[in-house]
Amino acid sequence: MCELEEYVEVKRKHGLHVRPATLFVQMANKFDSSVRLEKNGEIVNGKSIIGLLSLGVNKGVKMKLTVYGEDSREAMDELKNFLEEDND
Amino acid sequence: MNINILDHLDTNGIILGIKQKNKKLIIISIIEHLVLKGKIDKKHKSEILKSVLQREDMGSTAIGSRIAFPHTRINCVKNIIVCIGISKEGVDFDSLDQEPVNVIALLLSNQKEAGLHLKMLAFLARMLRDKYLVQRLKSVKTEEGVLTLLNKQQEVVR
Repeated sequence: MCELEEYVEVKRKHGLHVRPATLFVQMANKFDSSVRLEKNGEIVNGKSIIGLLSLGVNKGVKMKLTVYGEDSREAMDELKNFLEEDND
Repeated sequence: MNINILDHLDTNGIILGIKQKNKKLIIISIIEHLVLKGKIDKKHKSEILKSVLQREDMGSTAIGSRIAFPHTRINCVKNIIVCIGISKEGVDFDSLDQEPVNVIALLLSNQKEAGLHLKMLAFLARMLRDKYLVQRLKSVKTEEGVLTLLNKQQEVVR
């Protein structure tokens, strides 16, 4: 089991509104690893849409992404890429 | 700057006893309510309705936890309009977790207000992720009662 932690800058055009938050959580749920997002000291479950929305993540925000589990490497790569994509 | 829900929501923006049997009919009834209460100009009704329904076609905004956030950003709306619909029994809103939905928070915002839109969404999510609040909202009998509960809740989540 491996825990990975990286700081990610969200580049999505309108931040994490309902659609990207939903896509992120659906992606996170494909993995067995636990996923956690931290913004300004507040931590939410990366597999909960309402949790993610409650952070109110704008474009340009830096968050800490932590994943823990057997497939943490794949999860980290895919989820980080998603947040860093420059589209809506 | 903190959002105060009472700056954006009054009793005319609250609908109790949502009963329509599917998502489309529920959205139509909410938009019609907003026209009736003067929150939306009648001439913009079909444009707004079309836009909210198109957004739902891209993927349901019923995100689980008994909550739905139907929304659109559209230029005929000034700033932001919030409407809260409540169903005690729960309605079919094509939810991602297949469960019925009890709280429908409709957001309409001007296209220039992407920041406020996201902030309001985050604010509502912070309040509604508390299952206790959703449970309480289900049994509220008056629109004023909903405002009182939301006002108390916002003091907790700030």
